[in-house]
Amino acid sequence: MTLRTTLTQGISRSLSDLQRWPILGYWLRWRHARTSAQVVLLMLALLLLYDGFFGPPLAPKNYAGVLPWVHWRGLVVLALLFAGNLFCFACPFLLPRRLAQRLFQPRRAWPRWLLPGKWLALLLLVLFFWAYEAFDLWASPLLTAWVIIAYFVAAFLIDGFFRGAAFCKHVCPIGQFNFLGSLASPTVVSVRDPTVCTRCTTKDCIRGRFAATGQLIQRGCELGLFQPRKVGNLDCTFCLDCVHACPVNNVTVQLRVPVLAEIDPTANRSGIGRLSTRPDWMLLVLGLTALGFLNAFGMVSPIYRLLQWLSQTLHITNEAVLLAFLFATGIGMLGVAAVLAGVVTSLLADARPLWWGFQRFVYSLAPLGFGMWTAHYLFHFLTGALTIVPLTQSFILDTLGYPLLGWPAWQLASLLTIDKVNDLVLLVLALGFFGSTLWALVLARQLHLQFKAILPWLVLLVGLFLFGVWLLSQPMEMRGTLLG
Amino acid sequence: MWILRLIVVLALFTVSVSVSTACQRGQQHSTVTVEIVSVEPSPPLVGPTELRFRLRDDRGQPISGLGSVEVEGTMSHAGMKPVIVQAREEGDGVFVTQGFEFTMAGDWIIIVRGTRNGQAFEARHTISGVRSGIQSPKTPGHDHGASPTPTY
Repeated sequence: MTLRTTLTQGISRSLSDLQRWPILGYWLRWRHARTSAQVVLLMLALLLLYDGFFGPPLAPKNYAGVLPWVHWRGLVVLALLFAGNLFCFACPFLLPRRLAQRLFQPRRAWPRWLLPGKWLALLLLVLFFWAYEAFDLWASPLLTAWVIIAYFVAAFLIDGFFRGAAFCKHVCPIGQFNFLGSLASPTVVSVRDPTVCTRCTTKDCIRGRFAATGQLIQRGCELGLFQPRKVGNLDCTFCLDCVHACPVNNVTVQLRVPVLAEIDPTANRSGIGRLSTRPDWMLLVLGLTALGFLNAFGMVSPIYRLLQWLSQTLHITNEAVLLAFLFATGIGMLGVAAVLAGVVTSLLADARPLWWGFQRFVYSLAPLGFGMWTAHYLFHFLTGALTIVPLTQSFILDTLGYPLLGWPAWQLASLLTIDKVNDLVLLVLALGFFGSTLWALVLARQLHLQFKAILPWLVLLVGLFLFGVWLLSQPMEMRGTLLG
Repeated sequence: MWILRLIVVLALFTVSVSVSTACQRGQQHSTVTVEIVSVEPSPPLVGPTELRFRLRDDRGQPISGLGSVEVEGTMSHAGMKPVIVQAREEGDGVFVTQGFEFTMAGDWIIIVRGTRNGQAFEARHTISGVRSGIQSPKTPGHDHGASPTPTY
């Protein structure tokens, strides 16, 4: 190996290793890096709770109406796209949970007989987005504050009762969204040198590090991801426990090419197993993809006409029931389409069982689903990011009785013109479509399939993409009542 | 453990402050109410709109002699740029907006702000079910040139 090659490889390793970056690297190596980020978000959560309970009932005039639904959602998808799972890393709900773990020292494992894996999270995810539409959570700071309280209480109780990170792994709907979104992230927590791990006898990255007295001084991965066998970002909260637990500093945050390492569903992932044998993960991808489109559909004019028609046809006037019907139909339609695509792929590839194609290719929907979510959330963020300025001016004015930051400039709202925002969200959706198509093609190549075998999936992806384009071109309409 | 103590202290502080103040931020004890007299076009459509409204005091009497008041139209979803215009008094306590427009279909909240007897007041009213019209309205809070109805 020449000196030049050695130098190039060394520089490349340094650049891709975020712990070796100036300032950021120092912060990531700091044991309290996560806590410091969590404290910042905890402060914001407390502000939201205060304003949600005691602030104006109008969402645009209240931190609990603006920060979660405009800024937080937009920043979550931006972070996932350009950095990593930062919002699980900085999750404030886990601070009280830490208190619960100290208080109750739970020893019980998450019961396998009661909704194991992702089933409960999937159920809660669908329930949350149904409630979001049925109760107009986006329009109610008070309900938003109650959702935040429910999150704090749930994290406290569940992790006070069950050992490990049961809440993150089995319950948290936001976490599941972040896990799937982090498939597109450019960073991953992984080992620097796999050969070092083969010589390791302590396995601190998963067991944790203990003092001579037996006291735990650093947690290992509570989600059960054993670093040497960890694949990609699924189930990783970026908590950095493994980074701090490794006695030889062999675990770090690294740059990577998004998606590429995640494509093979038959890879044995530590803490997860093979995705091709996990129906809960399959339905999570399917559900989140369908919900991405349904959630966006809830904000455009045609939904009112559809619900009006459904109401007259089914003789149902209860909006919550109609929405449940719409959600079940939407998820069901995508499910049926994906199953059919899988069956045709299995037949064309001469593979058995007939589920084979579905089990392998359903995950290729993830980038397009995430693209739809990102397009939706970015639209709100880019058209409303500056509303935080007059809101803060108003908050200061109401709190101090004096316009310390000036009189509220309510005319401030968007970061970009609407035409640019429309172009950008379309581009984001197209990138999602591109990612999904690439996923299907690369996987087909890995599995030595002919092009015709994955045609059903390409047709499904094109259909979904066109539906997304149609959705993004519809006029927005926001009502408090869907049947009004 | 310091972080746990900090959390407990902060939580107690927030609860105590909230309970002690026990009132809504930004709540103005205004007794002024707003009554929409007419909306043109009717039923309300996306695009330029003329709102006529009457302000009433706590005894239900029309308020006159204010000259002009500020009218803000906003949506129930945060992040949308509100429409802020002036409304001049026509007489008999009826005010008419100048240059107001509904920039999006849906439910709108109309906020009227002004000063009466040296005291600031704020009154609200909801206009539900603004529909997409055939007009080509301006976009919400962005370019003020001719541009399409906000999509998505």
